[in-house]
Amino acid sequence: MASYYDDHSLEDPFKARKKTSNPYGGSSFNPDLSHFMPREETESTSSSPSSRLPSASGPAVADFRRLAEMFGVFREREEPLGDEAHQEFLDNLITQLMDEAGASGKHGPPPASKSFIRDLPFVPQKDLKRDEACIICNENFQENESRAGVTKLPCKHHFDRDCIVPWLELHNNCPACRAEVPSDDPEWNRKKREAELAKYAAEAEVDQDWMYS
Amino acid sequence: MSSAVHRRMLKEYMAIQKNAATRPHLELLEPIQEDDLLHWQAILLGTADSAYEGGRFKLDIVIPTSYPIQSPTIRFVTKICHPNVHFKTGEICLDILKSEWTPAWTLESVCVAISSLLTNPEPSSPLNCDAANLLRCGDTAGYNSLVKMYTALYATGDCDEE
Repeated sequence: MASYYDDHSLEDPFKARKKTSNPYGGSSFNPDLSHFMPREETESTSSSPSSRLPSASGPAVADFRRLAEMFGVFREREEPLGDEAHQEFLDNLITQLMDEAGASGKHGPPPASKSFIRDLPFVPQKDLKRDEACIICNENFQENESRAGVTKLPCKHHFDRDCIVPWLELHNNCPACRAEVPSDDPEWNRKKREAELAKYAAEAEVDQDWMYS
Repeated sequence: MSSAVHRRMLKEYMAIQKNAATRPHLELLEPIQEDDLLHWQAILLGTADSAYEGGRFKLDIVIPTSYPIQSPTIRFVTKICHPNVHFKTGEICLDILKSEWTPAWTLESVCVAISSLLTNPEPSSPLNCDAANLLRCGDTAGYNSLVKMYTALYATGDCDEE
């Protein structure tokens, strides 16, 4: 498990702490409970124990990772005992924790802008093909009348409004073709501006080459 | 919301049964129990002429209630030696299961993607560094024999035993 940090070029939080403040010696990550538990105690003095549990304010990604590491230590220690059901339980727990860490981190594109979602157009039934289905729910647009209607993105792909809004609230692209739509995310907007400037600069360079060659 | 996910899974289930003949590398893709459409299993077959040939690899698939807005969680149950699969947990590192997920994917297309990941590993984002390092330093012979060994060791028997 420790190699996870190496592969992602991240600093291993365990190793870092060991180097600076671990009074129990040993520079390598030693999966030993007696090393592990006292460190947990020293940690809880700096932050209250409850802050390590998932809370409404949103748990830190690192907390999930740390917890997953901790169960990883248990698993490795208990492997020789050969209790398969227990091993499987720990495996699932670790996978779930890692997923949780991933889910609360930034995965994929940022949400679409609120104004974009609010102003999604309404597509009348006559503009829809008879056999056309929403790719999110896989249901034909004609089949179900109890819906908030059909809408389309700038790339012309049609979706049930009820289906596309939850997606756009998480990601600013088209589920069918990944064409991007506006976002309120400052980081995304900054990157987009930079990309446009770079493109503009590249074009200007091509123009110059043509003029002076 | 949960009834929406059930409706979609039912549609996928019917489509999967209809297309069964068109997927040579997917031996099986079905709910573990008929009455729970949120927990599936699949069996991938190792491609002929690859180091995985002869192997049958079982996948465990959990569908979140927010599916298809959120991706399914898929892991290998059968132990497999692959740069992008965690050897112990079976966790799979594949962009379409994480940042590149879109609701246009289906369980079937995701399984096909995982099947093609087997023969097209991505050693730059490894979960199994030993396998990835062999590829990164160009030791294809070493990599292939390692994969063959683990395939023979874990994936050639009845994978339901796992």
